[in-house]
Amino acid sequence: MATSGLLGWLNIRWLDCSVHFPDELYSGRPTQVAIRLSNLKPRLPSYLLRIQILGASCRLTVVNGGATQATSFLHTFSGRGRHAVGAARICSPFPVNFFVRCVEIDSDGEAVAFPAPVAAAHAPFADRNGSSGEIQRTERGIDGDMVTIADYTGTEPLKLIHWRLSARHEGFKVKELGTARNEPVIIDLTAAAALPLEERLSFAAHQINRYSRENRAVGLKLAAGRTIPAASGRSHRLRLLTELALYDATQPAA
Amino acid sequence: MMRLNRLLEILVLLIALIGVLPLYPHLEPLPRIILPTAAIAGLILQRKGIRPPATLFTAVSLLLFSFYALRFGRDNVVVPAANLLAIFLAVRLAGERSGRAYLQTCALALFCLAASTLFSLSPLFLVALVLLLVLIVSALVLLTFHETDPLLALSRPELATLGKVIACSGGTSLLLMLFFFAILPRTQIPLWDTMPGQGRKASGLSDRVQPGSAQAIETGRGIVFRAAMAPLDSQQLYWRAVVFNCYSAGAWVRQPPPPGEESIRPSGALIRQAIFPEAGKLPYLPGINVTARISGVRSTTTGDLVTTSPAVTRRRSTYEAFSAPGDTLALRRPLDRPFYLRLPTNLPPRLAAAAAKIGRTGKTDRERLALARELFRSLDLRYATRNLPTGSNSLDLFLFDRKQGYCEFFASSLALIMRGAGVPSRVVGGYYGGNYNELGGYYVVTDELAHAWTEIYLEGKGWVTVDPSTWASGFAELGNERNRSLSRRLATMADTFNYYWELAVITYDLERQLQLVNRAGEQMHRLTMPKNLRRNGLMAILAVAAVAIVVLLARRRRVSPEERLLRQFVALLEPGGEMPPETGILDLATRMEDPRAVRFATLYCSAVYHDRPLGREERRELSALLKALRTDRRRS
Repeated sequence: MATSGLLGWLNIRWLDCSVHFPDELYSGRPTQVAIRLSNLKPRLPSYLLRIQILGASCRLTVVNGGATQATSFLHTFSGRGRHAVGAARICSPFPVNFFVRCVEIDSDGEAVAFPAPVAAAHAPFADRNGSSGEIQRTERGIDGDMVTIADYTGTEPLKLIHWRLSARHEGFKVKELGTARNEPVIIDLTAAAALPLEERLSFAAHQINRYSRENRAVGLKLAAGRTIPAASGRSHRLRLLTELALYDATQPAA
Repeated sequence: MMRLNRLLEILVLLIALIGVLPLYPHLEPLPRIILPTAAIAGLILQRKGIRPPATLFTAVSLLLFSFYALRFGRDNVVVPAANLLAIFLAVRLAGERSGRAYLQTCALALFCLAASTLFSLSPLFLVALVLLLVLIVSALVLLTFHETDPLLALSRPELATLGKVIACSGGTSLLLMLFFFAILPRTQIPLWDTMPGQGRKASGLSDRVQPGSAQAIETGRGIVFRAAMAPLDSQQLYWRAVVFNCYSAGAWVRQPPPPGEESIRPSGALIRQAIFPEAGKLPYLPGINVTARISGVRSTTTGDLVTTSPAVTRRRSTYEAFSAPGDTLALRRPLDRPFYLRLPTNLPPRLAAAAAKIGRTGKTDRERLALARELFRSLDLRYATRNLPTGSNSLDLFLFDRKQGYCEFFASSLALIMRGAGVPSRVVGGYYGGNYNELGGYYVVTDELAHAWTEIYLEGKGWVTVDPSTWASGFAELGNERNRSLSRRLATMADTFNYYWELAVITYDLERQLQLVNRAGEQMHRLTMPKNLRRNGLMAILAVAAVAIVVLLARRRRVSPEERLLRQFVALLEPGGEMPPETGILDLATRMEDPRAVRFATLYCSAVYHDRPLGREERRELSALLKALRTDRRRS
């Protein structure tokens, strides 16, 4: 009994547990959570470890001394915002199943759940969409309005040559067009104030994801005087979604 | 990958086998047959995937339980209980294979082993216990894995690591077992008194000397006692146990010695013998003739220096005898001559006539003894254990017709002749000789060494030991033959283990525990700090530090086989074995302009640069290539 007690005690000592989330997780949607368990003992393996965390439980049969093992489980966060993971409870019946010993390890993990994206039947923020302001376009395209006339450099498509103008000049002149698809959008959260906040956030999340898929720059007006300029790219999208996730309900809407 | 349930099944079967093996010889025929049959049936059923209903096994168990329960009685507890345990184990072996069933099998195997100690407690028990301990620990660990997932499989390296953990655990348990064995409290008298030997018939030395009762004598080679002591001259190895002082109905028997008889115990330099008698033999405590005192056991010593102890027959114990080897036992008071001259009226006629003649011829007791010796020698008697004279006239036949017999004939005849001649005499029973075990430093005395001799009372001297068997031809050779046989010597050597088992385990009781505590206390008391503790301590710390540095350096310098091979390869071109900067192994191989070097580099790179260790075959081939390259270089 003494030997098994000692082995059981050693089995769950000197372990380190870390929790890893995907960088994009939404409230109410199952997400895969990865757990990495490191055995800090140089030689002695740890056996039959049951890790209980976030209400889920998963098992690792062997973690060799000085090694790290990973496992995962599906978890659904209810509600947007920051979710503290709390301590991981590691239990093991090793070596002889007479007693199950447990130890709690602080995992230092934190997850930010974005609002669940919900497609709106009508455009909730349409009335303020691009209604005022001026946009300095820098991008060039082939399907937008003409931006300027430039000299032909030999690389432009032939259909862009402005034949009439070229006839008046010594060299060829080409039309430089803007792109129709990159028209930036600012989502104004304050625009549909009649809607409940959580719905607005869900609609906004959906809109951000949709515009990003269409490669359109998207920005976010969170409150009067606080606007995130429109931009594209994955990191920008995640920034906007994080803002939505952490949007404070007590903050004045307008 | 290896499935754990398969491993567990083999392990549990092995546990059952080891647990029941020491009990098996003591079982009745029914469980003896059922056990192997059930084990085989269980294996077959498991292979074929057949699962007999559990109710069938329950019914069989109940039936057999009832059968043995009816046989339980106040005097019959052990045998039915042991048989029942074996039957239950058999039922488990044939039944289902689940974690619960495996656990029950392990427990039953352990109980069976424990039950075997109610029949015999031999060193085999210790071997079985140690094996069972390690195997049960292994099975319990595997059962834990099995309970977590019955289909769990582990890779060979994982199993090897687990095996090491289990081995460490088993080893620690064994050490703890040893520690607890020494300190756990125990009773002075066993609570459950079923130690071996109870009810066993004494062979060899008996409580009467009756020559002529059988045509031949057969004495076993069972050990009567072991005596730890310095070796003695073989002529002095007379282990005196009992005195037969009365001849009645053709046999020498023991009667209480006459009141007032008191022997003078020898003093001076005494030989100490630590004697470990086997339980169940006669209650007499033998010691080297002449024994001054016996200690270490509750005993009673009579005036003729015969010591008895009821404890020796009840349990294994040990005692100490202190003797002064010699052949004379003086008395403190005058002898009760009529008691030691008492003779029946129906003495064998020729013996009586010879005794009367000696009585008439000899003037003193000493002369009469000399005449008796002359008579024995002139009769040309031979020592034999077969074709012995039998019947009421056997002593007459022995002396004058057959002229052969064993010690009881010689001792009885001489004692009767001496009494007939008017010299007080008695027959002494004990053992003569012993096989000395040099390894353990003790004598082993077996049943076949049981011996009878006489004590003749000579005025002014006391009781004098006279062994008439030594006057026979063939007696000296018998002893030599016994000691010379190879099997006997081997058996004596092999007995060392038994001796230490008895010394360390069987006779380890409360008294020995207290002795241990006292000794430890005394040593602690005597413990003094060395004068130059500071200097010695510093030296010890420096020594430990030096050893630690050496170990660390050795570990740092430890190179993998891959590294070693690479260094040897590089050493072919670069002295010192250091790879030149910005050079790869393939560059080196190309510089050598030898296809074998290129082969070496290719093979090495295919393993090491793909993050895998070299295989055994690969290492062998690389070593062969290196050897060939080195030989060529040396030649050139």
